[in-house]
Amino acid sequence: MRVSYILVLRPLLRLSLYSTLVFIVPSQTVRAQSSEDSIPSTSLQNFLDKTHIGGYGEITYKAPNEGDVPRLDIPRFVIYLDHYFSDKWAMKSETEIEHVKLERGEGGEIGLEQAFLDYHANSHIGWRTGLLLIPMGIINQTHEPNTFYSVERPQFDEQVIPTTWREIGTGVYGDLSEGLKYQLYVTEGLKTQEITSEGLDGGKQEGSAGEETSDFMAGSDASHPALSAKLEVLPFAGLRIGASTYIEPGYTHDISRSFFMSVLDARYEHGPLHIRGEGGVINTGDASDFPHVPTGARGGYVEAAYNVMPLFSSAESELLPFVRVERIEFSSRSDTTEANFSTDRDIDRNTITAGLAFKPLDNIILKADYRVTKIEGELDYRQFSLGLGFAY
Amino acid sequence: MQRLIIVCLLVGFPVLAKAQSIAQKADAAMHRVFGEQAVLTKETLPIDPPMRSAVQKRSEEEVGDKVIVHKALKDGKIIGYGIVDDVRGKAQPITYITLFHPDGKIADVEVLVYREPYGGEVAYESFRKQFRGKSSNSQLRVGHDIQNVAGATISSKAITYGAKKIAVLFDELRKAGKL
Repeated sequence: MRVSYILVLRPLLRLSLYSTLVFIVPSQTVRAQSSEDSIPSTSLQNFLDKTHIGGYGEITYKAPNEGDVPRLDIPRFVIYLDHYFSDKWAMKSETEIEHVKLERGEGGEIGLEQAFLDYHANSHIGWRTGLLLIPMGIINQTHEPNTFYSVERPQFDEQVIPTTWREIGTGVYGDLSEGLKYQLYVTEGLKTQEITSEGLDGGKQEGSAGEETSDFMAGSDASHPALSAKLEVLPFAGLRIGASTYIEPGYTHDISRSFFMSVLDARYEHGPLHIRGEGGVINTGDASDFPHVPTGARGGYVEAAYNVMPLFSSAESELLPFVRVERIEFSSRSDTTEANFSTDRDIDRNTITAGLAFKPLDNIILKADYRVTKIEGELDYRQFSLGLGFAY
Repeated sequence: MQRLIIVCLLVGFPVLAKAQSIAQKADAAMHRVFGEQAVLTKETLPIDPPMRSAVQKRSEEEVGDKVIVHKALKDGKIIGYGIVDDVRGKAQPITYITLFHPDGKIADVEVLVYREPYGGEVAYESFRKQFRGKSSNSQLRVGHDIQNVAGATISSKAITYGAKKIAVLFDELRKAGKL
């Protein structure tokens, strides 16, 4: 099984870079064939018309209860730079500054969050290559602060799905038929042995080797590619249901057990009522043979919000009280003993978040919420948060 | 094997990308709604300043100083109209056509060109059918008489604002006796 995975996935990943280079040149041919749909960039105005500069950001205040220092932060400030070469060819990028600044290697993070070339052939098929967002759940691919109501992203989308989860790869997307969408990508895989009971975040490669910076050693480890896929069904305008899977063949031992992740999500909107939920399971496969790596995880949340603004005024602005209930479990190895670090027992986290979001405009959001997390055998963690988010 | 895949991709994508102009797509939409036998014509009508301000006041959207009105005729009689327009999605324009019955009711709304990788679901029947039978006097507001596509709020609102604007413009043109 493992051999067949590697045989298929590794050449596909290698092909991604190869085909990107080959594709940029024939784009001229495509242009010539569909001149109606593309305009050559000959003037500055034309270039600007085809280039989109945008971004998003958030400013937060977080006050934990247990005598910890309250914190002000700009967790993310992101700049989009997109160029639409034609109606079909586009380059999209997001460059991110996390936690305000990075100085002498300390503090926040500066990096690419997305950078890919997209060929949108028609509604049935598009082809995308570069630093991609893994199609997993709701928040990972739609993470602008005005698209969710809590100050922080749901815990599920931080600990189970390591948002913003991006890896270099290639793949296709489109509509199989009306109301049935797919995405299918081959990307570099997670470093699964870096997973902890705090989450998957440390396992992401994000297109970078991390500390190795010489030209020869730069780049991610492409020796263990992964396959990710998402199917979405939209039976009517207000409902969207998604099923996502991520499979990475085992590579840490000769015995092959794949890392596997599967997530279901749903969004239902009916007038002022907005309900959404995500739930998923992880099996860490070979990596769970490392003592610090949990054997798996599962969890999910349900959230309901209601726009009460129409009760007070006919304004376009929205005022949304919301509540979200979450549960996340990281499972320990069955044969672990107390000597084995932090995963010598299952870790369950139950979180309730309740708050209020105000959207004076579609692209601006003010948020306030209170979150309580219960972990068995530990003190409850409580946090009051304020946030201001924008996207443009 | 890799060379074979590349050759397939190089040949396959330009073939898949068979281009159809916006005008051709508009005509196809007119024929789909008003029948394959319909004879199609076009007329450019000026929008004078009083009409522009009337549209702006009623729809809270701006229009230009002229509009191309597509007409469908059967036995010399007008059986339907269409107006092509662009609205701004998240980053790029969405080109769409609003089709009208002679009485001013919306016959359909169809997306002609969607340029962004995400959010193309506004082209779905389940979203578009909500506009049929509505007119310039309808509210045409997301969250009220139009339900947005879950997860595609920006483009849903863009098309809804656009359809409202074009429905109001169509009504003003009718009232002015220009249609």
